[in-house]
Amino acid sequence: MRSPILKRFIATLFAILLFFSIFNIHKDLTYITRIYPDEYRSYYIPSSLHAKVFSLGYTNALSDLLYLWFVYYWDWYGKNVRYSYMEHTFEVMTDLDPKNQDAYIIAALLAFVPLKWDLVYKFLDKGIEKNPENYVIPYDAGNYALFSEKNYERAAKYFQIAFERNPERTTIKNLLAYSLSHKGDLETSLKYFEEILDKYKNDDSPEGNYYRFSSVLHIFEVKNEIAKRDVEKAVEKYRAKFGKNPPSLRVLKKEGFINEIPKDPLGKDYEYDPNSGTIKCVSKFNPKEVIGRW
Amino acid sequence: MSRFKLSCMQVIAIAKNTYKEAIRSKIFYVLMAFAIAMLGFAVILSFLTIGSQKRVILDLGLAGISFFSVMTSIFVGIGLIYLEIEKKTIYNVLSKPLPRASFIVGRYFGLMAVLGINLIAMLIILSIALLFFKGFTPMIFYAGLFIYLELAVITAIAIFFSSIASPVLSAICTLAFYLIGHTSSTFPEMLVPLLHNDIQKKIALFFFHILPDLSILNVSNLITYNIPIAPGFTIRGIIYAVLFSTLLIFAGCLFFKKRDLV
Repeated sequence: MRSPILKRFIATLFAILLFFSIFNIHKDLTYITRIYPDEYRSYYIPSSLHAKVFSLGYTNALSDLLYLWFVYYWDWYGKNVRYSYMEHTFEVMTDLDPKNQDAYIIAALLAFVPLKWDLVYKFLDKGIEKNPENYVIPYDAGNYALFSEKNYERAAKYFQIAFERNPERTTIKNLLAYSLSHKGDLETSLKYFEEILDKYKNDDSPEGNYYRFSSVLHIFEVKNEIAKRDVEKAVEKYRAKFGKNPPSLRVLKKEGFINEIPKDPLGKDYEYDPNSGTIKCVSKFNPKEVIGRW
Repeated sequence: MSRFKLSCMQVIAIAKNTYKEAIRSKIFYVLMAFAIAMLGFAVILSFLTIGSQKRVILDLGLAGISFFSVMTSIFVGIGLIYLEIEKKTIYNVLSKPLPRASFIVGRYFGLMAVLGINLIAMLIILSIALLFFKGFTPMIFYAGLFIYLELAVITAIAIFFSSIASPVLSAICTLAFYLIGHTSSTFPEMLVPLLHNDIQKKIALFFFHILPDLSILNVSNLITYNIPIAPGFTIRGIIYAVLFSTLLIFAGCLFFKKRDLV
């Protein structure tokens, strides 16, 4: 019969061996999983409907947990499957909690990094549809379209939605007017810029100064664009009739293609180029002279 | 002393006793510790999120409070009647001129008092966490009211099963009730589209209406986004929970009355 000391010793030794075996196996398993190709990483997020059942009514809480997982592990998978996984996870978390604004904004940001425009707008479009009163999501979409994709038509569409949902925010109106001017809707753009100028006419706060400066500058540019467009249209009609460009703007007026010879926003004449049939603004415009230093 | 007044006093005496008994129960403290840990976990997770921390704390906090309160209600509730019979302590009580129904009702109110204190304590902890993140809204106490209504129904079902079955069977049945209560609302969305026959669809919808629907007592998602609760919703929710609990306690009393305890 063994002594109690020996029994204790064997038991302790066994426990230490067990501990080190577990430690080593854990280390090995961690190493093996790390060298797996990305595609072999397991991914299973059930469908939205199953996730709803599984959440037992705590849909927002489950959506928050999925969102956290999504933010940290979206690039954990191989590039060939990453975006389909990303899309699926996004669908499930926003179906569970359609009001989670952060989910739409961050998902779009993550899809923007590799310039997956279809995904960016798909994520934001869902947010716009599911949150009919939210103006931040369409505003975010408009910013992507305007500043990154340079798609002015799309930008105007999103800023229009944001503007309809929150007409009081001048930032939105300003960007909408800017997008519209690039899209070609010059009259509406001019109208919005003039409204902004009117709103901040007597406002000397930093915000007021910024919008006065911005609107004065854009009104100048948009008015020039309108004059240029009108002259080009008239020149085109003249060319169709006489087979050549008019030698001067006076001739264009004399033949009845324009009612008045256009003046630039500072009241000076445009420089007309008979070869190209276009006009050029030669006035040096300094907005600071108009609105003062700030 | 009128008979009604006497019954009320008996119910209060048993409720007080149940309160003291439940508050000493280890399972109560274990589950409360888990709930508090869950609130702490929600705060930690909120640091990891990108965006609104308040939303994560509120969502996970209310879900944790609701889940662990329900677990407390089930695991304390299932033993309330059966263990009294097992330990034979019930004979000391029932040998006195006390209706069996008063015993069941007293047990129910005693446990509800414990759960109420537990719920208020957890809501205060959640409020402190939210105050720290400048996201406190008094509406969480409104969500607490609905959690309490759900607890009223779950406790009633736990006591009902405890009065007729063993703790293990009671736990299984009450958990099943809880799961059905929280999944039955998905019937029209999930089960009905899978059915092709009109009669099958009607049967499924019939079951949807007769099965308990605890999701209608869950307003946490609305509280998170400050969505106003529809007028009359609270009153209907209270009536639904009170009627459901009354029915279950009444059935429990009937079964317990006919039960042979000798």
